[in-house]
Amino acid sequence: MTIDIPILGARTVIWAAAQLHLFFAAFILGAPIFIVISEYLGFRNQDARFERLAREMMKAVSIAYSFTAAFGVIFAFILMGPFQSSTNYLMELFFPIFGAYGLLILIESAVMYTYYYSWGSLNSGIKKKWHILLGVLLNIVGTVLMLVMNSVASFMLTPPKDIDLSGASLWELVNNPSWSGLNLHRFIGNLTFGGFVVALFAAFMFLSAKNDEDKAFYDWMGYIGNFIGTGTMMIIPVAGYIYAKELFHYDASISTLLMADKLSWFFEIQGVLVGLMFLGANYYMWLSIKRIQGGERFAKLMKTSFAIMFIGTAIWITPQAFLPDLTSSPTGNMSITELAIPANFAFLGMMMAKAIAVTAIVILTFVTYLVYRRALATGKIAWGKIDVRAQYTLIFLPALAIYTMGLMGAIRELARSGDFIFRVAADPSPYWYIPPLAYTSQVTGVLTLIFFIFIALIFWLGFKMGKTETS
Amino acid sequence: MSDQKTFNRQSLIARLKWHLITIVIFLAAIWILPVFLPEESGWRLGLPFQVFYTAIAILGAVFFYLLESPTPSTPKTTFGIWFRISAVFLATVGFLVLVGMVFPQFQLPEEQLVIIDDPVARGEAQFLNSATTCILCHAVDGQGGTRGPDMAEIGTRAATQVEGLTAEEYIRQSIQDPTAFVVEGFEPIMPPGLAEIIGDEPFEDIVAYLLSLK
Repeated sequence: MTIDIPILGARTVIWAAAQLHLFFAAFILGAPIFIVISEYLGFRNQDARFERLAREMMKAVSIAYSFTAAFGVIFAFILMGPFQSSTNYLMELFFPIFGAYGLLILIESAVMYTYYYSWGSLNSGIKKKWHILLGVLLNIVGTVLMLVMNSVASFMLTPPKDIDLSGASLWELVNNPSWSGLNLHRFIGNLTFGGFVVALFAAFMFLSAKNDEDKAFYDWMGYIGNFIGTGTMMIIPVAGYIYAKELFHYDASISTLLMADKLSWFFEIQGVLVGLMFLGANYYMWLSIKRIQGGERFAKLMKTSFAIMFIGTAIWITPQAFLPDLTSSPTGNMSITELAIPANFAFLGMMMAKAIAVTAIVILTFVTYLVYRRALATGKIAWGKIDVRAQYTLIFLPALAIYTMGLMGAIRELARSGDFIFRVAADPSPYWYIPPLAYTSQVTGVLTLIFFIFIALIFWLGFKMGKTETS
Repeated sequence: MSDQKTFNRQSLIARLKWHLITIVIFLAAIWILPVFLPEESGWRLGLPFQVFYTAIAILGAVFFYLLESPTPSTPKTTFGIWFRISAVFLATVGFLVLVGMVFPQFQLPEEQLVIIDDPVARGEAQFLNSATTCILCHAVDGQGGTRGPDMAEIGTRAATQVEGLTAEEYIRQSIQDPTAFVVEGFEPIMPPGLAEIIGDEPFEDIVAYLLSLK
């Protein structure tokens, strides 16, 4: 490595640039999917709220687009600097893909800005249909763009085996063993992420709204954002299992590293995060039920559900032993008996118990939604009158979602275990090793806060400052 | 107003009564029960598990308190609103970072913690590390792959492999341009461009190490 970056080191800087690029990318790819659905629903049902939601979120997406590009450029510069030799190797294999990526970004930019700026002029009758079609096109281009770059990211972890990579066809490299798993996981993950960022936006706007009309609208918008985030989050574990299965079939040592060795405690935090997300989402629904007229009687039912979810989360995160990896041995006065789970509780550390626990949590979340629908059937929602704690929950949930995405991204990168391309090319940098969990957690935390600052800036610039100027 | 507050407080305590009793029973089960259980019973939790489940119980207590607690007031000023929003976000992220810091931590690889002055020792570490892939095809001291030539005494043999090339020149050429000279009996399977992939410094260290094998 001929170029390094002082103080932070090249690894941390490229980590930051890539992750911030991906945070914004997840938002600008995930949000337009339900923006266009929302626009369609607004058009079909003549419901102005869906139209307003779609338009306001598209404004946020258009501002976020610039930040996505900016962090993408910083990421590319660092790749070309400190990580030049490794990047060159990838370039040689994937040059047509990188070319297609550039072209797709150009097309996506053109479609995105046309979609956003033509909203006013293509807003009635047949023109509206054309506008919705433009939104669909934006999503198609965005999804293809994601699939294209996922091929490079997945290749780095699962390069095809038993073929000469330098002589392999482009399709053999693209269609590597974990490409489809990563595509599915990221597609759903982007929807969850986008949903929770919408919820965050709604909470910002609700708390600072000056009139009842705005409060009612942003209360409804927060509900929709949480609904999308939670609804898609319920199927993420399935996508995660599919992805993990592909990795296991490719090389079982990756699974060992993830679930039993150095990265196993990273997954402990993931358990904490997902457990808290489900609890938070259900807490929000509980407050939503309470603001339905006569909903109090249904809300009482949910306390048992919360207790079961809490126990389920505790089972999910119960470790086999308090050892950080496979090679560590007990230190200090601790014996292995104290560090390992007692024999009669050993089943709590098994995958079967954890699968039952997570299934129970998912089912109970669905039951909560059914309770909400039941309450709705007998009472009317007083939009804008929700308990203010619900809005703080809509800030709590995105914080968890953003951090989760950062942590899971780090896990996927670190799963290469010291290689730049798994078992093909070593990471030549002095930062090839897996950093400790504390450091990973700190970096992820700082990046989550940086993203929050930028997203708050977008909300402020686009919806507070701009509004003042207009008025 | 004061009476109302007192009433709310009393009402809150009444509503939380069963939650508090549950938590006390739970904590007693975690901390007091193990004292009466022999270690070999298979039921006794070690200290880390006691702390772990206590933390979960405390979080549970906080969560159920939130279900019953009075609704907080909404800040009146824009600054107050933004401050409250940022505080919730910061507290959530801070909690997660803290969790990451208190969970067990593994040690970094020794070679990352100790700065090795000797290029031969550094080169040996690079060569033997499976991440650089050398050892997967080339053996040293009877360990390693057999798809490529054995590296035993390569520091001496290298001087006689290609006429006109010194031992160092030959080793450099073999890594930088592996197809320039292929040892008899082996396939030309070494990937080109390895020197660039592993980087300048590790490359120099590996050359120094191979030259030392005499």
